[in-house]
Amino acid sequence: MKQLLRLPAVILILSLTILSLAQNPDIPREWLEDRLQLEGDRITFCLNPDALTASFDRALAQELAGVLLLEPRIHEVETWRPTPPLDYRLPLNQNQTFMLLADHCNAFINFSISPHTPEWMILTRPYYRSGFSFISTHPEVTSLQDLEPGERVGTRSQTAADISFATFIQSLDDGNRWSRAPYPDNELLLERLLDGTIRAAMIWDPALYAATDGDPESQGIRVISAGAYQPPATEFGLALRNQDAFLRTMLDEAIQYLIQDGTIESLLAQYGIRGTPAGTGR
Amino acid sequence: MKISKTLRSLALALLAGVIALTGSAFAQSSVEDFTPITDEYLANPSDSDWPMYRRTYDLWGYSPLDQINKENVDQLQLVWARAMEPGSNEGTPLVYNGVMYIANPNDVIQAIDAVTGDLIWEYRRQLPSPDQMNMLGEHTRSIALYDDKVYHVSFDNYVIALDARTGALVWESDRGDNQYVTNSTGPIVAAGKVIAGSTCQFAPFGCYVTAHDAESGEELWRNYFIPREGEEGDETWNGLPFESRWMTGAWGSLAYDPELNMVYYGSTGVGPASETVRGSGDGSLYGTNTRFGVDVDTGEIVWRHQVHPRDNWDQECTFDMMLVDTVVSPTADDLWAVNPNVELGEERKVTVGIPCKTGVTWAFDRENGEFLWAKSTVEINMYDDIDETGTPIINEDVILREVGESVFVCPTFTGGKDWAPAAYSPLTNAFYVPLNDACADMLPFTDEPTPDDVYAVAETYHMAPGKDTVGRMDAINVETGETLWSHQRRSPNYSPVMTTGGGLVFGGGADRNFRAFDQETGEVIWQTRLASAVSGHSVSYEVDGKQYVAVLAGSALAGADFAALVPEIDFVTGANAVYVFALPDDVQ
Repeated sequence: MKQLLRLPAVILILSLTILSLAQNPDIPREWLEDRLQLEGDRITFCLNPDALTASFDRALAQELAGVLLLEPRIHEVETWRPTPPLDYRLPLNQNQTFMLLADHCNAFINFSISPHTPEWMILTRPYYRSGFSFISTHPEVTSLQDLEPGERVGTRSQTAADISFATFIQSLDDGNRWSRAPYPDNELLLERLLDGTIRAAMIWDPALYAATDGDPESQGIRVISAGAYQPPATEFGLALRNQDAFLRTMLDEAIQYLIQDGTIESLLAQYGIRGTPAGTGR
Repeated sequence: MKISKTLRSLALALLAGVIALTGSAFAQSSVEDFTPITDEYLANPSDSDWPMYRRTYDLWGYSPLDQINKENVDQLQLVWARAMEPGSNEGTPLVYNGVMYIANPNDVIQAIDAVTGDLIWEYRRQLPSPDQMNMLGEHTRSIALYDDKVYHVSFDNYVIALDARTGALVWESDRGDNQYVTNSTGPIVAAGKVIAGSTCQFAPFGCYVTAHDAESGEELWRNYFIPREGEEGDETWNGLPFESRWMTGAWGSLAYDPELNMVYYGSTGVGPASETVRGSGDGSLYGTNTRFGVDVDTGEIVWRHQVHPRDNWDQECTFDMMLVDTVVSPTADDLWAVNPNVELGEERKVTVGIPCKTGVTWAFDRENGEFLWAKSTVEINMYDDIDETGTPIINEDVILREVGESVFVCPTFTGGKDWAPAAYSPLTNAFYVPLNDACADMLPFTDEPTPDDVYAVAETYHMAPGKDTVGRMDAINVETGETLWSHQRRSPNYSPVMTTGGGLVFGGGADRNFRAFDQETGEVIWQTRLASAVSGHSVSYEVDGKQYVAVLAGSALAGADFAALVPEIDFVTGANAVYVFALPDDVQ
């Protein structure tokens, strides 16, 4: 099965770099080396070593390359700006991401799936998804409904769940709304929960369980009910340049294979990532 | 044929040797007979020179030289040009005693013979890879000259001083936050202090203006904009945690009044753009989009006026406001607001200009910050009104309130007015300002933005209602507020403006034309087409009795956002260069 994917993968790699750059962002051409990344049967993944899931990402890259019968190479991205603690967010803007894909790698792993990608970028199907939970340290708070109107609920700003929660709050009656207290990172969000600045927060599950060694209650943090509201999960795939559509198709098939054979679920468990393989309904 | 690794290494070593030898062939020389620059000189520079960003502290962008004038400008000829480093080329060639000091993109600073274009010395800062810095730092709109030094704020947020004679580094002072903060418009030196703002986009915190001792590099004061919890104005942030009050900096022009000993600057907006996504509700956001008058010795804020509260559209009120002593008679028919306490005909020390992307002209008394008058230029729908105190009344219909719901907003993220500065002429008591008329459907994201897209808004551009042009230049009388003329054309206009004693206004555009206008009528008297867009500033100077006009062209954010609106415009960027023009000898 795995061997079926090999030949097209090699062909695609050789044909990719000659295509048009018409939709590229406005980056001085002199800054781009636009190297041919695939030499022989090698595929290079850009990886953010500061992401909470970096070890899982590295292992998954190996598995993806294995399915495609390619030799994996990891390009660890160096950034001056750190990834927020306990997070996945890539501290790069669009131009910087483009430069990395043009000069250093074929695909960027651990990319949060968004419909608002730039024209030059394409994303694979997601390989795993992770949810958000509402939490509190106050015994009297067992549900969001126990909070006073106007009381602030902490969030990590600008996640899909944060924006969804903002929209949900707007849908409530004026006198019955909570407010958001958006924080830039999950570590600070937990700190503000534990120091009593806020009584409740919505947090990305992998962050919560990584920060508490898998046992939030041991630190006095309980998951509370959000009633009818369910924050959306965040899904993760790989990002490529749009000229690499064929490689995207091959990676999609490889992801599908790794989901079906249980590899991704095993890797999530092995690396302690609180999430589920994408598209499995679990 | 396959080249072995050994051979390849050898070839690379040989190539490196050749490059090293070639480099050494351009042995650096030094500026001869350099006369140190004093405070008195900067307050009243020689007509022949252009020694700071807008030539004078008042940001006029005006050269008194008149050898090139309305009668002969059509005979201008190119006398030399010189290639520049790649990157966004928005710089200003400073000229002092026949030497041009020029900042290339990415922290390459050169001294060049202003008559021949020959290199005298070059400073090249070692920087991290551009994919590891705030890319807005590649802009270097200006550097500063004082005493015997050249001052610059680097891509990685150091204030540095170079020996003006040799280009050697004298001192550098780290402003910190190197991974997030940079500087794009450059510093000024006022009363022996290097004053510099900050470019703070993408930073998960707010920024500052700093003052460093010009001799030693010691930091003397630092002014932040965003209040902490419990500080004055905190209540206008509606309880948003201090850690989530982001990105307010001051990356625009700095002015200085030596008599009042005050420096003037304006702060920017905040991210994310939508107040709903941001979580600040309908708060006015104290500290953002505010104009400041500040004691240059202590950093004490003498006055402040918020010209754009409750920003939802990244309107950044950090741009140039000129200092003019003028009679004030705000009587033009189309003024938006006038302070009823203004006595018509009185002489005032005014600061005037278009500080925000909104395109609204503001005039204040610069001694005390008293609001005088305001008027709009480009299409704007963000305000219902501006009241008699100079406070905009926000149009609730265009607030980015609903995530996922598009709102038609005028002007756009890119102005209106943007970074390209206006110029003032004492010949007409008017200023000349580059503008763009455009609107956009703004859509706060419904899902997680792509990395570091901290504004979290998608834009689709449109022509302004009733318009089929984008770029324009308006001439506005400073005494009355009257618009004297408005030159409007299809090609976007992100080109800085210069005025001269010859009755001319110089400006360019995304269409690669470099133009001279008649200050009084707006008529285009002369134009020439360059290799790429007029991306940087024009200046004028004189050496040995000959007047020159220099301009930078090349890569810039030169209106390409509007390319779909004006598809016939041939947008060309790249090929960075400085071009220098003069009259033929027999015409002077």
